[in-house]
Amino acid sequence: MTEQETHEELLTRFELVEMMVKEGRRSTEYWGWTFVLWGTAYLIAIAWSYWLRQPNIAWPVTMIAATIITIIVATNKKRAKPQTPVSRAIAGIWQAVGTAIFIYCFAVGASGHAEIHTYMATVEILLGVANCAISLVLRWRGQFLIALLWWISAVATCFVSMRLVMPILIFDTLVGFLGFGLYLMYRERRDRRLRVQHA
Amino acid sequence: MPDLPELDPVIHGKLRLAVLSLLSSVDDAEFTWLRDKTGSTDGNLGAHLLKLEEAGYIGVEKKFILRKPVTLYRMTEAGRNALAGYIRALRTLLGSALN
Repeated sequence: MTEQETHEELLTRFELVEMMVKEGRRSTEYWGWTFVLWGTAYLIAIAWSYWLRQPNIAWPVTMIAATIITIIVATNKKRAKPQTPVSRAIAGIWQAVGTAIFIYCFAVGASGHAEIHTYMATVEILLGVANCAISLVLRWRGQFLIALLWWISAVATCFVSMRLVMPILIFDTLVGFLGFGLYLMYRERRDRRLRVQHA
Repeated sequence: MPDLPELDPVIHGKLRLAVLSLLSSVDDAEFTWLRDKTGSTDGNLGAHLLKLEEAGYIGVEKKFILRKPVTLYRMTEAGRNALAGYIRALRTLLGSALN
């Protein structure tokens, strides 16, 4: 083997390392489907509470069902794609905030001390915290805008009349969960298509 | 003239280098994922993974996820050091060609 060939061989090795590291990092899963799932769960809970007048059953049932579905689907997806430190950080943020919201809602609901404005505003603040933390981890302004949406809504919820509290939550759910989730799923599909074209 | 560094023969093989590089960027990975990413066959990949395991560069864990058996491969500290050393040696050997 000539010196030129050896040199090219080594360069190939170096490029292989770079390509594989990039490929491994690219495995970070998009979580668009979770936003769509939770957005749907919120809308079902809101509709159930409104039409059947059973908020004490509607919210726990839909939230627990959404949690179980999330765990099952996420576990299946984890098998197909390995976790990276970034995906673990994102999952950790949602687990922490989700648990906090669950404990808060359970405690407030059980105590009967719920005041609708502060109750909703607190949940919205927490959802803003999760989106903001993830936007900082990913350095992604798009998700920071979703955090801002939740925080602005939380402030607005404190000031509006009772009949506007639910419309605000419905609007946030449509934009911050369903709309954002569908956008993420579209990006994921686009990335996959590009990857196939470049393969 | 300074001595040129030697390249670790365990890592130098293309498939083993690819596997270690992949494992360096994830927590752990399943056999099938490594096979798909490297475009290797089961037998070939299995043999190379065994070599990396014998060298202490990767660890293997077998467990059940949703009642299905899963084999997970994880890079060890020795593997991480070996890959870092290999890349350092490559940089030295390639010198200005990288710029």
